[in-house]
Amino acid sequence: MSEGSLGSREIRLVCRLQPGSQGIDVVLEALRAAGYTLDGNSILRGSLRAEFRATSLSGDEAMILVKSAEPDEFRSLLGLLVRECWYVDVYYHLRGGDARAAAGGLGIQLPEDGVYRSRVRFSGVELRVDAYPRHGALTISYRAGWREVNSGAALKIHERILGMESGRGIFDKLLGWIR
Amino acid sequence: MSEEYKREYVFGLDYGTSDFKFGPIALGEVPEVIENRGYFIDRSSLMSRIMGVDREIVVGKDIPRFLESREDLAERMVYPMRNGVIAKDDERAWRVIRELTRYALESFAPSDEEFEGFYVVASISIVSPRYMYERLFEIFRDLNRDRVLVKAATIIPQPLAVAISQKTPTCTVVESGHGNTQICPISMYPVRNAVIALNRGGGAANTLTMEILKDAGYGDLAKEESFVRLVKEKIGLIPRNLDEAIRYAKSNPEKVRVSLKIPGTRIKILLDDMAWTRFLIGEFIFNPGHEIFQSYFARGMPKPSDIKIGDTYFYGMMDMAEAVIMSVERCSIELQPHLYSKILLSGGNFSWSVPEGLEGIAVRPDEKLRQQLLEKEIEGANVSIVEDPKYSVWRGCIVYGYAVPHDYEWKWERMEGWMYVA
Ligand SMILES: Nc1ncnc2c1ncn2[C@@H]1O[C@H](COP(=O)(O)OP(=O)(O)OP(=O)(O)O)[C@@H](O)[C@H]1O
Ligand SMILES: [Mg+2]
Repeated sequence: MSEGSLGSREIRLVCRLQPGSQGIDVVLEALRAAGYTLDGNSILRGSLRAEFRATSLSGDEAMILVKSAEPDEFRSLLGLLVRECWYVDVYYHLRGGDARAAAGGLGIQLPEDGVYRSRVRFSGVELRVDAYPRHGALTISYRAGWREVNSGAALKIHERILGMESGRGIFDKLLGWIR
Repeated sequence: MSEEYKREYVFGLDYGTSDFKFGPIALGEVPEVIENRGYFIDRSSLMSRIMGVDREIVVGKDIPRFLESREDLAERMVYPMRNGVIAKDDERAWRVIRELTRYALESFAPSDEEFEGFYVVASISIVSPRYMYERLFEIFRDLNRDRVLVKAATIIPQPLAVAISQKTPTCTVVESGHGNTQICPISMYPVRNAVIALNRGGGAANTLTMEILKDAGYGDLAKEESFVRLVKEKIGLIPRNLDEAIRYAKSNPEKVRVSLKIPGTRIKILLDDMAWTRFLIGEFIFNPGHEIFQSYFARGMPKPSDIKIGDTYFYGMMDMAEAVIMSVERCSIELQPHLYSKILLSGGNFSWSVPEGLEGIAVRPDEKLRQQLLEKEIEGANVSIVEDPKYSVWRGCIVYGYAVPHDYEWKWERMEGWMYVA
């Protein structure tokens, strides 16, 4: 896992299960039916590698870590989850250069130190921004439902944050807010 | 609602003997790391008065800026957890722990009104006596006096955190960091009377690396611990079988030879005809009793010693497989095969890899232990290294805090749940 100024990125999905549902089993079933391979805690399909990290004891939430995925594979996993769950909170955890790039891409001006929290709108979705400049860390999150995925907003957010569109790199130079 | 609040503000603290790993759930999978140490500034000194230094202890990345070049540096630099356990009356050590904890929490505490303190999950050694738990809770409570940083806290032993991070209810955790190694069978809960502790970890390999550097003519450099550690991590190798590896190295010098440049300096290290000693570093972690180390001890290299801290015995020289077997055999016979079938290696001291071209001669730690166990007639042991072994304790803290409901309150009898301290 890379650290420091080179950057690093992770995606965490926190799935809120349908009230009164039979816990995570329904989701697992749906994943299998959609051609995902479930092996221990791993969820695999095509370019996607994800992992179940935790479930709350009350069984109302499950946390999935997406380790790698092409944007369309990511979209399709998220699409499935929002269908089976009540909603899914999507978190992007970024460090170093990746954090700088994402902040730039969303037009966020970050301070030098302290803890910074704010909200920005992008593609019609309210994104929450949590930044820890001293540690070079940035978290961007939003609540995804059926609407966010179907409108294409989820994919746009994904690409913008991870800098998968053209033009990535110039923002690195613009904002020297980390270390 | 409070459950949602909790899940957002889970905060993990892993108090390692050399490194302190910390951070909120919002960091994802990788915590912040600073050295587990504090520097006591001499506040009576003229310079500190002129410079207007108002703190007494410095921790974290700031330390190098405050280091005075003084004789008593060693005395002023306190590594509170050097042995994994802090004595009850070691006030300086406790003050450093308090300062580190404050540093960690403050640097992530948002300043808006919504924030009512973190749900802190702290992790300490499995051999920690009860007063360490009491003292830590006291520190959390006390920190809140200046500003509320901790809403509720809980404390779990490090091997349990590892098992949690791997979602493995039955296993044997071998947690080897810098200062010591804990071997702990787990069957839902840690089997406390089966715990074996070794008085050695990555630090012991540093000591040997220091001797190797001296022998190779780098005696001056060998004095700085952080430098030695870096060299160790870069050049050390775990041999599948030490004698064979040495023979191989001597007949294939070009495969094992190594040169290393220290970034940001002009220092360059070259191990040529002594390159076979690279294998000693890895062997020492698993089997310091190998006869080859006798000559180093004879020349004054300190031997990992047996010590007793509180009620716990830390073995110095016991080999790794022996320690695992001894620990497992303290559990019920029925449980033993299950414990061998899931041995988890965690901690920075298991971060060793095998360089290209040396496959089969050098091995990873899991293979080494499996081999060692096999030699002692434990067949079919299943050993694996957890992903990112340095961070697994912290990750376990986060998963635990996320899973335990906010209304599950701390009980001393079970040592679990949330202690509300705000
Ligand atoms: N790539 C590596 N190869 C070999 N050793 C490594 C590597 N990375 C880290 N280490 C060693 O791991 C040790 C630190 O591990 P870790 O952070 O788990 O210790 P700790 O938590 O501070 O100590 P403990 O768990 O004993 O309380 C150091 O001795 C370090 O040199
Ligand atoms: Mg540790």
